[in-house]
Amino acid sequence: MIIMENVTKTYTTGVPALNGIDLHIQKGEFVFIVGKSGSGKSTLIKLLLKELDPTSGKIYINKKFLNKITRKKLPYLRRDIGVVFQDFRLLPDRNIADNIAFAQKVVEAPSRKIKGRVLAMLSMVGLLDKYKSFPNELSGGEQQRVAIARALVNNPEILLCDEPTGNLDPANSNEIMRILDQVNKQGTTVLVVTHNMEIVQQMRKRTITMSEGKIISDMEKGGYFYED
Amino acid sequence: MKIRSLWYHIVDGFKNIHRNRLFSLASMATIAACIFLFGVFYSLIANFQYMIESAESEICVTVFFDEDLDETGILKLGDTISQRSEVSRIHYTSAEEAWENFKSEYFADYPELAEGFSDNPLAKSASYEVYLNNADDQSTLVEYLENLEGVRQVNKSEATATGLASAARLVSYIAIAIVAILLAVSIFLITNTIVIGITVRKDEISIMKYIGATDAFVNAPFFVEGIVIGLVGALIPTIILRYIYAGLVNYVLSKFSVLKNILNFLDANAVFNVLVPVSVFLGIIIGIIGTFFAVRKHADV
Repeated sequence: MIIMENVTKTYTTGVPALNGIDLHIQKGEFVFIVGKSGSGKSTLIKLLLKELDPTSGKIYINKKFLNKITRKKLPYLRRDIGVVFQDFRLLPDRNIADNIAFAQKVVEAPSRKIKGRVLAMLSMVGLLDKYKSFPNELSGGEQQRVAIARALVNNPEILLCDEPTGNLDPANSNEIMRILDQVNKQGTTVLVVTHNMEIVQQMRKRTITMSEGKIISDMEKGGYFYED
Repeated sequence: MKIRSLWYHIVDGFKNIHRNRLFSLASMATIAACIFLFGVFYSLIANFQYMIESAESEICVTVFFDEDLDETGILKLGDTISQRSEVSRIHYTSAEEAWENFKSEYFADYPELAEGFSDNPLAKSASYEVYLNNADDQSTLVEYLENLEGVRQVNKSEATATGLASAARLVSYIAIAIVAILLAVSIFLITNTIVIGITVRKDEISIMKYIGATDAFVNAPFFVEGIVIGLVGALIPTIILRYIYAGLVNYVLSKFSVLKNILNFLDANAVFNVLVPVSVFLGIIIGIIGTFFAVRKHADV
């Protein structure tokens, strides 16, 4: 599903953000990526979204060779990848149903299908009764659930979550993780970048630890790798 | 981009205009000023052109022939002259016709005076009136005619058409310069308006791109915005100009009736049947170019 072969990314400042990364993630896996700030986690996410190009090495997603994907074909690649951010990034001027429907309109889904799909997503994240609420009327946890619903409404094969619990209290963080686990059990490959050690320990999923642009551990059944 | 998204883009484009209404209005006003001046200059030039054409159709060169040239020779020369590219038509006036015309012009009140002439005093005055396609060609044709064997004298017309043609040319140059500057300002202002719209919606555009929106989908509402601004900016001055033109022509012709024979104004429909589509096209093109510059530089979020 996701393959990175000897990927290096050096910014114009000369600082290597990623250094010889080799990574294989199978379809349907749930993977945590952990590490200190500046370890290269965000760069890795940006490379997978092709916001950045690698300095060297090869990246494949769904057998598509990312290095050669043209600007014209990039939107179609991104439709296979849902993204959830730490700061939710909901549109404040429309209600949550419209926020989710927006993702369908953007990919020009048939309008007759949009409503049903939006309701299904709201039901999945437990916010059906709040479909008319605006983002500023919801708690942080609820906003993140809307963001997850929006990321999943187009049925992506991969869900990338960049610090999804970074702004949430433990109860809401657990709820988000429960939803992500459920999404994964339905067949979506989930990749979560996080600092939250408790959640990583608790979920017992594959955990990749990064430091200074390198993978320093890849533990099959989870657990945070503590650096000295 | 799919057809079913068209309505979505149109609504979004109008929302953008509403969000940036002050800048949109400023852009519309600039385009309106540009199109208004364009319309004024176009009306002026079209009328000049019309007056020149009217005057040119009346410009003629009169050619007199050597006294020993017989009528057959004169008619032969007529054939040669009529084949010139500068010539639109020729009219032959025989010596008899010339005398008849003279009599009706000068002895109309005293025909008995004309009877005092037993022979035709204008026996050697058969002539051709040579009408030109273009007043500018008069000197070339006169030079040719003066050098033609059998031609005694060429009387040229000192009509004002050449002066009118020069004035029209001058107005065209001024018009092109002013309209070009205003076009550039309009495009610059539309670009700025759209850039502000893009900046306001930067987060939304960024989300759209993460979700998988194509560039065409992201840019379409901005093109709608630019086209609408251009269209409104073109229609308003054209409508205003239509009424001003009709009113002004009526006013001039009624207040200065002496000018009726000198100034031939074009009918408003004749002017605006061309001006309206050209202005609308110009407005839309300004909108598209302005938007193109804006999205090319700024929509890559």
